[in-house]
Parts: sequence; C-alpha cells; structure tokens
Amino acid sequence: MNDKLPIKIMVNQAIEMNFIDHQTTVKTVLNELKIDNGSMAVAVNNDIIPKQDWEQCVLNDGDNVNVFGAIAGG
Amino acid sequence: MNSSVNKLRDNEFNRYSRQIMLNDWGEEGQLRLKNSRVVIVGCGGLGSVVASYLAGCGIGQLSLIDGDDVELSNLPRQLSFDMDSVGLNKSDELMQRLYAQNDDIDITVNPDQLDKFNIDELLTGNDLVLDCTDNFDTRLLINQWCVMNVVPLMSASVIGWQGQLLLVDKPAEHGCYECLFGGLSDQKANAQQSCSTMGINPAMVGVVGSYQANQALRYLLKLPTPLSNKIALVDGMTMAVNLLNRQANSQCDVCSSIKSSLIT
Repeated sequence: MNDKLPIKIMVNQAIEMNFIDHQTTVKTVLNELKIDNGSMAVAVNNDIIPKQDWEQCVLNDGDNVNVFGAIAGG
Repeated sequence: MNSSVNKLRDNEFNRYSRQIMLNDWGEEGQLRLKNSRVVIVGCGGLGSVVASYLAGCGIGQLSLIDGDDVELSNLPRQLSFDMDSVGLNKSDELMQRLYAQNDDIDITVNPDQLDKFNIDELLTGNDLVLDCTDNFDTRLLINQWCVMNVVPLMSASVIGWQGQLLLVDKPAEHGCYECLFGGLSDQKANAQQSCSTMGINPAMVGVVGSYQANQALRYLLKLPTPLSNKIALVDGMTMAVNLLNRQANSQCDVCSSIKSSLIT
C-alpha cells in the first residue's frame, strides 16, 4: 500500500477512522476515541488482544477493531 | 456423591424422548446429564431461564445459590416468579417451580450470597459452574475459584440490549474472565454495569439465558462448543452474535497465580 495514503480502520462496525500514521496501534485508537480502557477488551479482526500488547499491536488498512467492556447484569 | 447411573427408567425414556432422538444426544447423552452436577449462582433473570431448561432436560443434581428476595421490579423478566413470590427468597422459589416441572431430579438450595467464606462449600463437587450473578465482585470471585480448582465455568451476563457468554475450561490456553477484562477489580467502582443501574430489556435474559443453557447442555454432553475458546457478544438490537477468539493473558493476576502455585 502507498505509504502516503491513510489507513482505514473500522471500530465496532460503526465508526470509520482514518490514520496517516501507518504505525497506528490499538492504543492509539482507544486514545483517539477517549475510551477509558481500564476494564475494556479489544479484538482486532475477531482476535482478542491482551492489554499489555495494545501499544505494540500495529493496525493495518481495513482492520476491524472491536472494543467492549464487561457487563455484570444477570 | 451419588454413584453413577447407567440405565434410564421407562418414564425417563418417555419424558426425554424428543431430545434422546437427536443423533448426538441419545441414551448415552441423557445418562451423562442424569449423572451431572451443575451449580447455578444467581437465580434471577439468567439463572431462572437456565435452571428451567437444565431441570427440564434432566440434569441429575442442580444446586441453586441466591441470597436475594424477589422484588416487584424483577417480575418483568424473571418468569419463574409471580406476585406471590415477592419478598421470598429466589432460590427457594425457583426450586419450587423446578420441582413442579420435573420431580425426577435432585435440587439443592442455598439461600445465601456466595462469598469467599462459603465458596468452597457451595461450589465443590460440581461438573460445571454457571455464573448468572449481577455484580463484578462475585463474578471475579467465581472465576478465581474455578481457575484455582480446575472446575469449568460458563459465564453469562446481560445489560440493556447486550449479552456476553464465555466458557472457562482451559484457562492456560484460552484464558479466563480476568484475562479478558484485566483491571476490572480496579475499575469496578465506576463500571458497575448491572440491571439496577443500567436498565435491561427483559427479553434479553431469555435470549442470553437460552444460549447459556444450550451451550451448557452441549458441554455436559461432551459436544463441541465455540465458547471454549471464544467470547460471544450478543446484540439484541441487530440480532448479531459476534464470536471473538480468546487467548490467555500472560499478565493475568488469576492465571499467573496458578502458574506460581504450580511452580511452588
């Protein structure tokens, strides 16, 4: 892919985000969305990414990111 | 513990005939259920749905745990209870309903809140723990106990129009509840996403509770279930079920404590 073109990331199948930086990580996306990530879980293309890997997990053009929190109701 | 039963009676063949006729169920599967012990923690919306299916299907020994009494605001979604149940203990009331449905099984009732002092007594000896509780403290406690004691846990939760389901039976490979939501214990004060604070569509406990019962039956029948290595996110608005692949978190407090205890 042309490095000058932005990469497109889809979050929760609803929010489209574009990044010029091709080293954009999961952590970047959460920061951009201002998500309090203390108890959140994140999946990239349906694979859960452990929290300690968020800063190293570089996203690719077309990736689907799923962000969700625990719920407790029963 | 009761000794294993290896033969069904005539009335059991009759009662369970529609499920026994399934190719991957059969008499062998029905005997597996009859010889199974399952504990349900939380007898509210999810718990009452799951318990009804498991009792109806002939799980040999069911244990019900809930220290709460039935409230008027429970009645829209907790269909095992009625106006006369208000003010009475949920596990006691649910047991009455289940025995009316199937008096051929054994049901144990514990009208107490599960806590770190009674959890050994209440969960030990079961083949499967079903978490149907309504708060993070208890969910984290159950997860820790199940991982430490190598007892499979099927966790379900629901809020608003959303549900979540997972099975923790191979935490070393696919992680546990804490692996998934690490940091939950630090965040719980501002993340108490329970029915009383966030609201709930009553029909969603039926949807998610039925999924939980369905997958619990598959697990007990020794049939494959995707929940063993995935979490299911159930969206009641779109009818979508999103299955996400789980993995163990090397920095999980619960799993790392297991590894430490194994080493020492």
